[in-house]
Amino acid sequence: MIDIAKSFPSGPDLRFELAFTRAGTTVVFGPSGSGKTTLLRCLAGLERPDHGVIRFSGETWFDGTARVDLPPQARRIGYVTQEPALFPHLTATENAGFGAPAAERATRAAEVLSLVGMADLARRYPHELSGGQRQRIALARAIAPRPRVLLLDEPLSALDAASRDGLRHDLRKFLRAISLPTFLVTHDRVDALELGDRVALLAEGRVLQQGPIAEVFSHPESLSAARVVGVETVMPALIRSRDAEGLATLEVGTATLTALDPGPDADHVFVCIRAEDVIIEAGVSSTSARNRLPAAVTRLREEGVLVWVEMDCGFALSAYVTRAACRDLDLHEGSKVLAVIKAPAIHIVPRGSAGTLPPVA
Amino acid sequence: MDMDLQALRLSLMLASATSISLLVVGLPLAYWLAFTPSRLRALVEPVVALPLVLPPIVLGFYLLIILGPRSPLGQLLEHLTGRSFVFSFEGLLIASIIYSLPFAVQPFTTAFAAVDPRLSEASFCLGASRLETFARVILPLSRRGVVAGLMLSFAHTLGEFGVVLMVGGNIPGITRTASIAIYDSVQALDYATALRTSGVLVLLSLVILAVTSHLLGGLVRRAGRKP
Repeated sequence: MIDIAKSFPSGPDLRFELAFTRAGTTVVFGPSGSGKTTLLRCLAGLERPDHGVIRFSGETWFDGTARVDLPPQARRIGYVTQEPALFPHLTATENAGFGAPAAERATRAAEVLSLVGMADLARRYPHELSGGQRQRIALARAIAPRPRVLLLDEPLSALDAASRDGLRHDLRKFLRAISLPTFLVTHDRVDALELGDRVALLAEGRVLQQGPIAEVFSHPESLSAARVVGVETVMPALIRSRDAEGLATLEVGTATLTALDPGPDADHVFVCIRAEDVIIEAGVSSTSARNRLPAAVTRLREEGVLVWVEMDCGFALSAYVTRAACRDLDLHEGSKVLAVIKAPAIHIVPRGSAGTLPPVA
Repeated sequence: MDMDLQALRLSLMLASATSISLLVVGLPLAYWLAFTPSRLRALVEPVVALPLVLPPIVLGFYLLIILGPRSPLGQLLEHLTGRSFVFSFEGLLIASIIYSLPFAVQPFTTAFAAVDPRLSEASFCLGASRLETFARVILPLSRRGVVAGLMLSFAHTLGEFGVVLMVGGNIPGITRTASIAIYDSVQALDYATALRTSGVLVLLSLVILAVTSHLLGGLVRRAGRKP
């Protein structure tokens, strides 16, 4: 368990309470300045909380009242930062084996380098490698000493878009292969959805909400939590079939959607639909037209000139309409409408954990 | 050919012994100066730098008194070793170490402080102790500064005059260094000998610079270069 506080002369006071999990990835999600990196540095032992407790499986790492503060060396963590911080005077192999016991340094380095697909570049120096390759070696280096927890601080954010997608994809496989409790700090929703099992939402130095990723992203408990995750519908889905034209048919809750095929590699996905991209029409569905879903309005909330409409169309879907449109459509709770979503507006993200679909709300 | 080979040999011995001693004393001191959060640093730093600005003759004079047979320290040293430190090679060595201290410690400190702190943090997280991190990360990445500090202190000791004269005097084979031999020759109007001894020192300095340059791949570190 983690329960720590830290204050800075400038900037918000931080206070975090969250749980270590036995396995799987906890995404620490929030905007910049929310204290994500500080939280991770406190876990690593590189920064000292003002007070509080950090305990990992019965072992106390930090206790402000009992004056316990284990140094990073004694915590046995793997820590990867945004910039890979490889040792510039050492080769990829020497970097990867740095923390392994001297006797097995060479074999362990080869092992972890092949795990991240860098075995061919073992003799290169960091300045001879690309950003993505460096970050892979930093990952290999972090797990070589067999840590008990992995801490990843925005490991993808320093990369360009192309290598980012490639590394994110490989990171997902990597995290599953090593199966360590992992904290991943990010402000990128795609990183969070693709890599995370659980999420802790952070804003202004507080944990707003934590839980399974689909639950937190699709049901933010508070308005501030909703602001952090963005106004968007996020639902777990299953790809049922694919056609030759590059479209996929997805099962979302009890509804069926058609979207652009994300590629053959994942069947368990998240569908993300921005509230602006949902059109509400009056009337009842003419049988099963593509992406025209019969829906019942469950809740209306006014936000400035817009109205946020929550509907049930086989899954919980949010939409934005103007006040004028709301009047014209005569929307009220319980109204029967049609929710229309264009296929390209449905964004598909492969899912971090391929567990069973959670019950639809 | 007449020149004071004995004095040259003594100078080289003194310079080597000083550089090696400064490696032992200077590396921990520089590490402390580069990384300590202690406020004592503000006090220690100027003390280390003092020989840079102090006239050598003043430093030599103080050392003569402190190491001399009338001071408590001098008496203690004499009691422990059975002989006096002034007008001896050991006394000369102590004086040289103090005199050249900033020439070694300042490049060391600058080099250590220039190592990206994220690399040290990465090393700590990988389980390496502070000492191990120093040996495997900080020192290799500071090798330019360390070599530069050694070279500077060596050359500085080779050329010292005021301190040597005060603490060591002019005893052939024991405290008579090359600089003093040159001074003696000039005093005796033996310009030819003075020229030859000086010439050897010039040659020696050039060799030191060339070797250092070869070791470092260039003497001046230009901005933006990888180590």
